[in-house]
Amino acid sequence: MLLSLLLGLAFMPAQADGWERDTEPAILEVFYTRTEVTDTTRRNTDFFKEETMLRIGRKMSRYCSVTKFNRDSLVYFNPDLYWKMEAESFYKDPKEHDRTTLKRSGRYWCAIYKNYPQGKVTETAYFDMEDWRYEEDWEKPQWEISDSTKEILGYECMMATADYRGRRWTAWFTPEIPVQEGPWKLCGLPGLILEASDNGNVYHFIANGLRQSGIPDVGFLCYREKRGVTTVTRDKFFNSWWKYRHSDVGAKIRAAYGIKSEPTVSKKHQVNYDKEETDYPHDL
Amino acid sequence: MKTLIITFLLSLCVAAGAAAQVSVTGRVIEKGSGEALAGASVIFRNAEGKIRKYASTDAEGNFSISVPSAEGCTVEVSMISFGKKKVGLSGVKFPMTIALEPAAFELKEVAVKAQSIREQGDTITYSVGSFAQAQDRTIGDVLKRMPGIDVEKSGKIKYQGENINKFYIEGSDLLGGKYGIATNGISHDDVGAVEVMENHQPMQVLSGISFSDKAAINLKLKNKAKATWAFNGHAGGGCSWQPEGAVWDGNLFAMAVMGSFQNISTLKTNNTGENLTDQMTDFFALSRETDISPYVRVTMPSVPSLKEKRTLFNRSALFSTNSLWKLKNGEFKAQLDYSFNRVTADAANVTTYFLPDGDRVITENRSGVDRTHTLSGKFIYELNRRTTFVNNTLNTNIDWNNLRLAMNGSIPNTQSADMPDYFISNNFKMIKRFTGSPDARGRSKNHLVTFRSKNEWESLPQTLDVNVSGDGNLRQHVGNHAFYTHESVAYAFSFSGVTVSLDGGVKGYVRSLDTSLPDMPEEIPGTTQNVLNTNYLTVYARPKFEYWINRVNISLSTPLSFARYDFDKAIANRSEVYFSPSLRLSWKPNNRFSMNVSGNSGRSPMALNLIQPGYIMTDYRSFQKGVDDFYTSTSQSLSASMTFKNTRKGLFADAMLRQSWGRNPYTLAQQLYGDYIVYSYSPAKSNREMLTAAGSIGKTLDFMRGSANLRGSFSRAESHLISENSPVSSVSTAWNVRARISGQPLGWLSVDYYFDYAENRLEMNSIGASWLGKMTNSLLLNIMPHPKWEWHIGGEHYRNEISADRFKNVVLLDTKLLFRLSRRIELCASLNNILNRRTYNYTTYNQLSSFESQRHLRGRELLLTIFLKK
Repeated sequence: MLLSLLLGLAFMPAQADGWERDTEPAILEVFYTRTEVTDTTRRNTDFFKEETMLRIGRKMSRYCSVTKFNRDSLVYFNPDLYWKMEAESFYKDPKEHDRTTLKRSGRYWCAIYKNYPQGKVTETAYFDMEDWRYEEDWEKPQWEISDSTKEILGYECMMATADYRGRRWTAWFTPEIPVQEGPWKLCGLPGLILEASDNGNVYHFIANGLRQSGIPDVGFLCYREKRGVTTVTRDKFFNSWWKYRHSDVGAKIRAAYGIKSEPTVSKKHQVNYDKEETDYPHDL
Repeated sequence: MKTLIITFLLSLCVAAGAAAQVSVTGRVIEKGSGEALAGASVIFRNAEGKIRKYASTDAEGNFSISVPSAEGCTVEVSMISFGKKKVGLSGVKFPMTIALEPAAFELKEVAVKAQSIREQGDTITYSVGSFAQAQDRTIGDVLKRMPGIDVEKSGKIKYQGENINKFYIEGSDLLGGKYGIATNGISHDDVGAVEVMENHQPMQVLSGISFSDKAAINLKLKNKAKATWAFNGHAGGGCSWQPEGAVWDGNLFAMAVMGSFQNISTLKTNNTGENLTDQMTDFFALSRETDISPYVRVTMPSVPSLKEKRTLFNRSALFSTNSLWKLKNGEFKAQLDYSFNRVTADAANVTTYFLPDGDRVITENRSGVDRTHTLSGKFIYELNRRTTFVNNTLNTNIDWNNLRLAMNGSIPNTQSADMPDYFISNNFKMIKRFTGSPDARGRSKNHLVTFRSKNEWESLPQTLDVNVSGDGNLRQHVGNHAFYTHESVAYAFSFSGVTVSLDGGVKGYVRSLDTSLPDMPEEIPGTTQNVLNTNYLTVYARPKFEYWINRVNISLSTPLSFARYDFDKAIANRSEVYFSPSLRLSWKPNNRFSMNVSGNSGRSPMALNLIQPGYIMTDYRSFQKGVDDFYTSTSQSLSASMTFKNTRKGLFADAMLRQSWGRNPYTLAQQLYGDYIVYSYSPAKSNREMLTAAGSIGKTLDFMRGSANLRGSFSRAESHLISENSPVSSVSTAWNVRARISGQPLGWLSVDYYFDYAENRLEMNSIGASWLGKMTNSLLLNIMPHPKWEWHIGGEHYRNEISADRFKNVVLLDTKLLFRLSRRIELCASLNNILNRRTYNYTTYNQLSSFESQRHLRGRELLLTIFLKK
């Protein structure tokens, strides 16, 4: 019931001001399962798996989480219903509620906009209790195509590899779908990327569905902007994330309330993984 | 040059040098407008067609690829919303201009990959597209491939080892138990998903009150099949080498699923060995309470170990129309069916009776014709709401069965049996639910009141004519009528998970039997006249408790009844009290696992049709005599079952074990008088014991879009009888393993493989006979060289153990060529039994005899068929 409601919303043309801007008609939508290992020392247990979507327009594309997108659109367009549902699920079973709330929000809270603005890539994210945004020049991986092939979703795919932003990536793309797109920032192959992973297999994307008709427009999601978004450079964005991963959230809250002052960022918090891109300043 | 226009605007010579690189350059434009296309993919392929380089066009539509040599190579330019263009580079001057023509880009249908099995609450959803193979036609073909679902040979559907309790189409129960009409008719292409609803309680009024361990199936149709008439059909004709002559196979199926009206109608006819009677079987039918069965048992020879289509010599036709109207209050359904079936069989049999003083051998050549017409009508009104349930079902069924059997051998004779069956019944059921006012904790008490009335009448007259050469004619007539009425009232209330119900009622039964055989053989020691009535009146009360605690459902039923039997002076009248308690425990700790344990014990009356003081001829050489008194038997049974599923992994498993014991105060006795065998009942105690175990495991094979199933079963039955005045105790043991694998390992090939191995053994008075095994391998390869063509190659291999370590191997091959003219029309040519195998030998063992037979198989058969679909 909840699912169908959320799905219904995802199909709704979201054309309200304040939700999305600079929209254009979408020509293709690709759903990927994104797996992120969050502790490379315990990769069998510490990982997140999430449904993500890549909505492709003629000019731009947007890559984000399906669950986060659905939940946020419900909160935006029908907050009454959302809070009613939240309250209902909370009174039914508070423990279960906690779990499902997380599930409904997803874990991947970033969105990647390729060629938005033109020639640039924009990424938005929420972490450390703040909304962040940066723009950078659109840098495409330089791929090398090999002769290996395999079939994904009925399409013959070819293998390509590239060193990109600190990791070596392997992608499987299909010339049968002539769109030079892919999950995250991966793109630039003469065909859609249906599977990709880095050589450490910390990140893995695999397409599980394609949609060509009935797709709402694609645009920049601006619904967080009225709360204030911190716009930074790319290096600052990732460095802030790195610091946040190493932070002591408890100390931070205590500092915020002036209870105690102590360093909030320390190397004591071991972080056994990194972002998709690792070529940014890692100083703490 | 339809879609490809290349203009050479400029030519540029690249100086040929030793280490020269060729620069493949060009411009991509839109055909017509001449506008530059930015972002088009340009793929450079070498002479072997391998991708060597690629580029994409810039804002002006220009691209440039530098390669060692362009001779024999191609470039491929593509862009979404434009048709792909391939250009050979031999002798081409650069830069070139490539014009793309606008074209719709279509995703492949297979690319929309839904998860093959999904689970939400108690509902498991199987995506039909994930299981259907090219060779499948109907939804029944696809159901067989779904792990967890088992379709038996008869067409009966089981889910996790249990029979389903409802079959819905778009949530409506149009066909009731005759769902074979749907599974054999609806094109799988019209069905989007198959939903299995576990623990399905069909009566809404009982939801949350009474537990159901049965599952229901619902077909979710695709939108294109809804709110319109969907048709499909085929017509085929050809010739056969055995039986020699023309063969035909035709089918017309129509379905309408509208908001307030549903209809399924089907017309089928064939003489190609496809049994249509199974498709009319009502799998939900309760056994008739009129409880009369034919005494005459002239039967056609049967072949147990070959697929039916190899051995059935038939002419069959059926027509069925089923409608459902949704009314303001409830729904009305009308089902009308007619079928005709003519089956012939010829066999040469050698029967050996194992007798204590030596074996007796009887040789027969049998040739039989069985004609059956069946006409039935069912009219149902049903109102199914949370507070009220009303159902009235009026059912009429008429069968005309005529069987002729000619025999030569030890006793040359002809037999002709006429066994029409007339049946009419009306069932009325009403349940009303009242909800009391809630208590302090907000829970309320539910009360249920049920009224039921069931009336059945059946007449089964049987005429058997036997003409034994030299001995003249024997003609026996059996008149057999029964009327049953059952009125009951039930009250139930439920509170905090406990449901207590009390069910009470009256059952009345009147049956008359009238048999006569004027010219009886002189060997038979007694009368061959029976005129008697067996009547009873029963008053019963059936308290039942159901309790839910920590995901365990406990249900205890303790029926107690008092019955008065009136036998109209044939034997003494009797009064009996019966008590048969049963207990059942169901445990479902989570969605994946469930377990059931149940047991019952009780006394029951004997079947009243065993009461018959005179002899009745059952076939040309067998007579049957009933018991001399009224008896009751006792029985106990214990059973346990479990199911497991993991829908994410597409894994399903179930297992069951059942042990039952029975004690009869009478024993079946067999005695030979001359050439006649006489069956009667002796007042000696006999015990029965039976153990059955079965299990299955099913798994989806996602790597080849297929599935695998493995099933096993074991049974051991012990029984006693008396043969020629000496007791015989027989133990029959059997086990069986079946496996099925299907999938599409390659884009152009799909495979169906089926394996069956069974062994059985019959032990008499602890003298063990050897195990006899039967193995069946069946393989179908479907080669799809082109989307329009299919080529099926099928083979079956049977390896049957005729006697200890003596095997009979048979290989049968089929092939079929199918051409898809359009989405609507398919043409098909099939050649079955290419090797033209016409005979088949086998031996089976009966309790006291062996039976060796040579039978005919359907010979080579050529059939040309046209399939149509709307």
